[in-house]
Amino acid sequence: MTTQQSTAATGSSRSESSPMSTAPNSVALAQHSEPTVTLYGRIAAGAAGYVSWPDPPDLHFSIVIDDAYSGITVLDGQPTLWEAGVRNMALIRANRHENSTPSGVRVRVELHPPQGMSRTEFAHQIIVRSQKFASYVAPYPAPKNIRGSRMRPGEYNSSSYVAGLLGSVMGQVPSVSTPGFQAPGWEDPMPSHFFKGEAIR
Amino acid sequence: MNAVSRLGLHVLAWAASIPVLNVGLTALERHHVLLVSAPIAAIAAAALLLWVALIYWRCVPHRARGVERGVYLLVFAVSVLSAGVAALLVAFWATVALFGL
Repeated sequence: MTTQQSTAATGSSRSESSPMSTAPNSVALAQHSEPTVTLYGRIAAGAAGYVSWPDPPDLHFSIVIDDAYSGITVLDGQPTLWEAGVRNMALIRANRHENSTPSGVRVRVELHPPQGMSRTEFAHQIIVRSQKFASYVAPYPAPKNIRGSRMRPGEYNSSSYVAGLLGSVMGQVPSVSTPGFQAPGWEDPMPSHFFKGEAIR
Repeated sequence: MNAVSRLGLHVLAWAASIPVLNVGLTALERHHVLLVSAPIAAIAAAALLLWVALIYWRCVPHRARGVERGVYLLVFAVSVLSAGVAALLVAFWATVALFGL
């Protein structure tokens, strides 16, 4: 989106200024729509996520940031494989991909910034904190009793990663209701020091 | 091929089908072809159960004595359950490796 288009879209009072105007407030008028931050949830690991039957299936959460300028950014936590050696398998790492939204989505929750923070700053902080995350440090275990709805205390998974990331930016973990699904790990967010580059092995 | 080898091969094929099925269904979902809903997962689970029942019926030797039948059934059930849990773990990691969580 160009500045000119953005200005035209903001209202009739602004459309009076020419795109070439040198009026003092013309830069202030060059606004674009602020990014949206949405929590997407899909069944974890395909049909294997239904292993919790007869309890509801397990969700895997991703944070989707949709920005008119920088496009779509998807952030989530993933278990590691052997990309950093077999000894670093089954740990939690930050994952980021761009310009495609997750498929098979069952839950969408719009996230709002905390009071006093703009949506742009909110999205920026989430990205910055995710980049500072200490990947390859915390183990990635299964939920309690494998098919349970909670993690054991002090154990984290991908939902703990997303909950912790949001908590480190927002000051508290947002309450998310997912009727018909369970989200083990959301109740046990990763501590904020993991998102400040302070966690060490 | 003796009866035990034949039974082992059938159970192995059954267990191997679990990660293949999970990866296949996940691939369809991730490519926006099919949403893996609860009924689809239930149909897949029912087909696997039916298959394992057929393996028991066709491959486990029949015994006249009830105690022997019970022991055979118990050994078969424990073996299949162990193979199933291992196959589920493989299915999880194979899916994560190919598509992510």
